Amino acid sequence: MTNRVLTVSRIHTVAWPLLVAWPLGVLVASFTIGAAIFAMVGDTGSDTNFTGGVFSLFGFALAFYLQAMTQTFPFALGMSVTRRDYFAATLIVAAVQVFVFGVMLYGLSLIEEATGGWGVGMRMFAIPNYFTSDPVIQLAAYFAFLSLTAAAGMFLGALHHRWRVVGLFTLGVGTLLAAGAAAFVITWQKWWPDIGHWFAAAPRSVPMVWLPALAAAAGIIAAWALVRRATA
Amino acid sequence: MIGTAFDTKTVASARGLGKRFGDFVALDGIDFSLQENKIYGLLGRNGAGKTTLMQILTGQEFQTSGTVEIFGQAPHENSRALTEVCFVKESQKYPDDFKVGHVLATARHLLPHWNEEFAQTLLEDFDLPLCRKVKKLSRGMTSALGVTVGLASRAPLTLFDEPYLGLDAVARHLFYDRLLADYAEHPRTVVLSTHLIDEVSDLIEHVILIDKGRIVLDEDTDALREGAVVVSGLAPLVADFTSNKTVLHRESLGNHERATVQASLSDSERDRAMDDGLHFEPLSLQQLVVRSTTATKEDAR
Repeated sequence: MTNRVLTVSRIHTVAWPLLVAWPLGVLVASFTIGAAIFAMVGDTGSDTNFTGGVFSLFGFALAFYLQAMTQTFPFALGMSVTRRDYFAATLIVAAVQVFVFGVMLYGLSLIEEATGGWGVGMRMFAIPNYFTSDPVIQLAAYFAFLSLTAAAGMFLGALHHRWRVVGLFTLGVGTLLAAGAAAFVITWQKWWPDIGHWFAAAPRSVPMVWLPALAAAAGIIAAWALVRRATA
Repeated sequence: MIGTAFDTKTVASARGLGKRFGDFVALDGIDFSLQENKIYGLLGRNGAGKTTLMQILTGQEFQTSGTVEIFGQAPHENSRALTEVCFVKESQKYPDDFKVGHVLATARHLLPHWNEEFAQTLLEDFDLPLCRKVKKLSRGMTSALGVTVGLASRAPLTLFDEPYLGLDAVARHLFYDRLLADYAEHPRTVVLSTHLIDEVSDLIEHVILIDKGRIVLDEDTDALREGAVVVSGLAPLVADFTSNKTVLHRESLGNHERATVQASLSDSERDRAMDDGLHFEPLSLQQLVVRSTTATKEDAR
């Protein structure tokens, strides 16, 4: 049983470029470009030169899990794989990917800090350091946000696979209405300062780790609910 | 091996199987069983329900009513039963970045009866390029890839859903030849859904014909062939001969008439009729299927 799940996970690793090579390649490229630009510009007068290059990694992770549900899932069904085994295999691959990328990003952020931003004052990886100096929360924040990315990809991919564009539009409109209603009520009740205080007072681990982790768990459960009855 | 050659083991069955998509009834009260080590022809017109039936049988689609079993168990979410199955469908999706080699590597990992040597032979037979992306393959090449996976899987229950789309005549016969040769050495249950009935008539041992979601014919090919005959001759003679028989089809030209009759004739009966000046010819499977589907329609009216 467990053995079968591990075998099924090979479906994700046979075409490993998308899983590993592409995200890393783009990360290296955006790092090189950022570092070269900041080296050329020289002193910008600010302590750190922020670059969002690290988000390319998250973009690729999102694309991978979208594709896992819209393309690889029907292929897996065609290869006599059960939905449960495929979903479990995908979660295992996601866990490994989140762990490896999380540790890697954390390691790079340590190097970044130690080298004064790669010698050019660039801040690409040590983004959690803006908000906390606790190393545990920094590491956990990478894990939580990588998990959230994977879960979002799986959920949106499953939604699209099950109900196509209608599913995505319904979700989009629903979210818009819910967010609009919430904003209306909060403004009407003058709750904005309270919410601001709550975030400021809450331990840093709440917005940086627990909330994204909770959202990731919800996304995974929702994705499974969709995939359970999905057909090829 | 336990059991004798006379044992027929059921590998798949359906009881009162029904499937509706909204108002559309795709399958309606389907009952059948597939025996071990036999080649089945699942025949029927477009939209008859062939693909839906095979998708339910392999756990890819959920039925609305009734039950299905493969190897004595419900197929849905049943890893153990499903690893014994390979279903090659005409509309199979492949991930965009998968090359031919990736598909074969996946099949090698996931299908426990996979034979790599056979797969390599088939790759050469069909001239399949390992390094080309599946979505860049022509329709025929994509079909050839499916056929390769299905054959090399050597799954105890292998289903092919119109596997020949886009394949030229040479490649189709290559498929039939390879299937027969490998089947002889490694017997298994094969279900072949097809429109090209004449091409596979020598291949299939048992015919299941569905029309509008119902089974209209479920019989061994030999019995079918013996059960019907085309008789021709002068109209009055033919009319006399067919008076006490079920006529599936009748056509006449001047005073000459040809009739397709559902009957198995004894030798003496046939000799007597031939002495009277009647001619007999065997019925091709294709004719039989066409006659059977049109006959049921006429009955229904």
